[in-house]
Amino acid sequence: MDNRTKRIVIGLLILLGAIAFFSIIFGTKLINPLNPNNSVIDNQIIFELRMPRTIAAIISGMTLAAGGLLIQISMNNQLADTSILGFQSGATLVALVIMLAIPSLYPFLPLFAFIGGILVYGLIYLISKKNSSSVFLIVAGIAISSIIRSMINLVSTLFAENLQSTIAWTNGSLNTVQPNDVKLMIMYSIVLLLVALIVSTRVDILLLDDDYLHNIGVNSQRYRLLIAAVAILLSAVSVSFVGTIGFVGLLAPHIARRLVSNSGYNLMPVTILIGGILVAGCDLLQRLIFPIYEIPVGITMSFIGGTYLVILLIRSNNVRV
Amino acid sequence: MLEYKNISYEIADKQILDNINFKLEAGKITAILGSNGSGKSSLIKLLLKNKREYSGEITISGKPFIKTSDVSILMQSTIIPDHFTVYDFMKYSLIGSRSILSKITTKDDQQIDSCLEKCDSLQFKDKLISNLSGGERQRIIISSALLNNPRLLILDEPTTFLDIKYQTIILNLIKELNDKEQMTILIVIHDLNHGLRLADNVILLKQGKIVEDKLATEISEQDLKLAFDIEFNRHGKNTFITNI
Amino acid sequence: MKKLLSTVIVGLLILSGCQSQAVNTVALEFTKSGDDYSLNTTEEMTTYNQLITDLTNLQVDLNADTPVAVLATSTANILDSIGLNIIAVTDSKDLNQNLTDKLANGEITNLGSALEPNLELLYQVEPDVVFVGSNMPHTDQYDFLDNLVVLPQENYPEIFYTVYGLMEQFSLGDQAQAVFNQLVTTDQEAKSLISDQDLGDVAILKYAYGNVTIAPDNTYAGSLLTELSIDNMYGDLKDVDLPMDRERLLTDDPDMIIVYGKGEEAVSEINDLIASSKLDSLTAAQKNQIYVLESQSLNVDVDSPATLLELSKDVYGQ
Repeated sequence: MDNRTKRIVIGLLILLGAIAFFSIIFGTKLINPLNPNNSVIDNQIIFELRMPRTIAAIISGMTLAAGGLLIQISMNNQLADTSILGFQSGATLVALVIMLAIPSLYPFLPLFAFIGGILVYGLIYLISKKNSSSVFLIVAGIAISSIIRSMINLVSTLFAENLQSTIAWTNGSLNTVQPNDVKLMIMYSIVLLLVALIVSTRVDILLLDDDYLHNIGVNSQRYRLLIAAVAILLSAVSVSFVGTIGFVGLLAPHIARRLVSNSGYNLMPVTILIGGILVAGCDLLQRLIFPIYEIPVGITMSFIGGTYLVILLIRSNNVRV
Repeated sequence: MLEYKNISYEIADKQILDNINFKLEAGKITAILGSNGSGKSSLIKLLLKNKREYSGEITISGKPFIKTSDVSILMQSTIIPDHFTVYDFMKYSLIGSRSILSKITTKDDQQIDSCLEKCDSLQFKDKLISNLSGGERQRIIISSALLNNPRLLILDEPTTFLDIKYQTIILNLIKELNDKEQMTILIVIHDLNHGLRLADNVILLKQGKIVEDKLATEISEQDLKLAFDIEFNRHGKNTFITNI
Repeated sequence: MKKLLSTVIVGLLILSGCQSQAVNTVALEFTKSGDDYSLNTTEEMTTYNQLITDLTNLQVDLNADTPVAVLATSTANILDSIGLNIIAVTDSKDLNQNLTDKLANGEITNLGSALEPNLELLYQVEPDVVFVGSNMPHTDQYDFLDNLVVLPQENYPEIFYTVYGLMEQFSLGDQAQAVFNQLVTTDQEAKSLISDQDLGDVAILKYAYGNVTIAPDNTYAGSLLTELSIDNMYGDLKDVDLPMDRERLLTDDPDMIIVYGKGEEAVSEINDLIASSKLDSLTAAQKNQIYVLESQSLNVDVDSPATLLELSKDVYGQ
């Protein structure tokens, strides 16, 4: 990390802390968490509702952002994202089937979701052998994504009674995240974010072309697959416990690139923090704008993310695709 | 040294290379000359491809060819991200194949410095690649190819897109590496003048076939006419037109 | 013809519990003393006796003044009609007039959408008991609420269990008893029309949001047919939401078709659909036996016996 990055990381940490703090004191009513005279109900609201959802928001933002950055580097495509390429849909579908068939495997859901994501990656990979242009890949991803979406809809329609909470889940909902989910999320994310930070010191090498990598003795295919696997595993954590949240993996690295140099080891910590800020911030914003009606954070995020992407496409001429 | 035996290669029913046979002479510079589409770049690219994709056999010192650090192959356009410094690029090139947890050592740093030094590029070490001129960038790429002390250096069009001054610098550098380090060099080049002046041996390629394989000094006007389908002004060998 | 005395056995009912549970056969008996009906609880009705417990299986404490919150519209309507003290409810245009007015006045708390209720508000209003119907999506999401009661609300008889159970266990008083009496009277009036005439093949279809689906025995609409001792030609279907299309209708050619939907709007939509579907060649059309049934709810509700009565009138004549 260079000095500029360090300063920005500190700034972002403060911002994230502030959002987390406001996320805990604001809501349907103002509660000061530090007040020793809080009622039992107030404490329940803070510890059973607001804290779990705030932590879940931050973790899913962080893991999705880190996953997004890694997949962009792995595919050398700044428009890639685990949601756009359909990895999240694949993960959702398999997670859905597991929840239906063997609900007792719930704690291991991210691992199964990962299998779904990696299968979609395999499919995209096969297609990329035919035509490896990045735009082509994105279109292939969108197509595969919509095929899988239809399968998700099929499963949730056929088994509507057994999968009662899927509507909220596929939209990415923080409303009913349980403390137990949060514990699992923390466990998975600490390990995976650490892995992301470690690989980020070296991952830039994948921005070189494959012929060159071959020359210096790097098995680029295997390397790219490995990094993509870490990315998909990261997004599987969020998919499993919160649901699909699009655009974080696209937006966070983009914003990070505007703040710090493009080196992976500078980008990764900044991207992770921005991811947490984005999702927790969106959730806070949503709760302030609609104090009664709960809007799944995936919906808010898609709205903001989609808008940003449109602006980006209009204004930017140096997006590498 | 490197030897091609009965190599044929086709893409989508189009014959790119047709029964190629040649053997490199150790310690010499061999140039592959040919017009566009003659298959000269493909000839090199086969070294990075899977054996199943072509027919025939490529060997090195009598054994089936496997890409090791003994051989360094630089294809025509190496993409280097804008945010890399020269040092970043050299570092990744040197330790890229090592475990992800490995750290760069003092010895590695010395090796990087010495390779940059050989190409007279040490002064660029902390510059961003994007701030270098084309010639400086090409020198950096060649320095990176030296990192693992290869015995054989293979270069695909190293002077393309460079202006005349830098072309000369790069070619002199290649000559120097051959002289001082006794490095065997295979170079694909489309500039006849440069090729003939630089190389000890010349392979002329036309439509995927070798039309001539001999000492550079023995190449006649007739050979070139045959390989390139062109007429020359009568001013002697060294005024061949450049850039066909 | 089956002659039924108003004081004795009403019939043998099929009660299926939650989707995944085995189907229980329970005899539903009413006893009349004076003006009041009571439900004779039999040994098999242990399922019912576990009804008014929360998710931790503790019996909840409830009376007409106990503050309760409801996370489902039809459940809220049932509970409101028997006089429970509802202090918070999820918002819906299908809430009854009383609850709609109270929401508008701010007398009770709006908990947002039933699909994503606002849990913070739910905590803040401090209800002693939280109710949700078993017909609602994702009741499984609230398992952290230890005062949550899930009311069975999937088959017709369950309206009686729910109302009577709450009334008896918690001494809810006259209003609840009056509602229960009304339910039983309407139910018995509907069943008094039953005759042993051969109805042929009868199909009951559910219309919701533009889709027509087949209702087998294990659905609310299917249970209405069972109540009236009508053989449902699709009764044994396991598939709950199988769409009905014209081709299947022409192939199976039922003698009687009942299409039910929620509210007047649905009824006119169903009528339009029938008119535009060219069903004239069907036996049911020639016999003039295509009935459109207006129901207040697509699920078990306080209006279920009224719906049953309307159905009975259609099928057996007045």
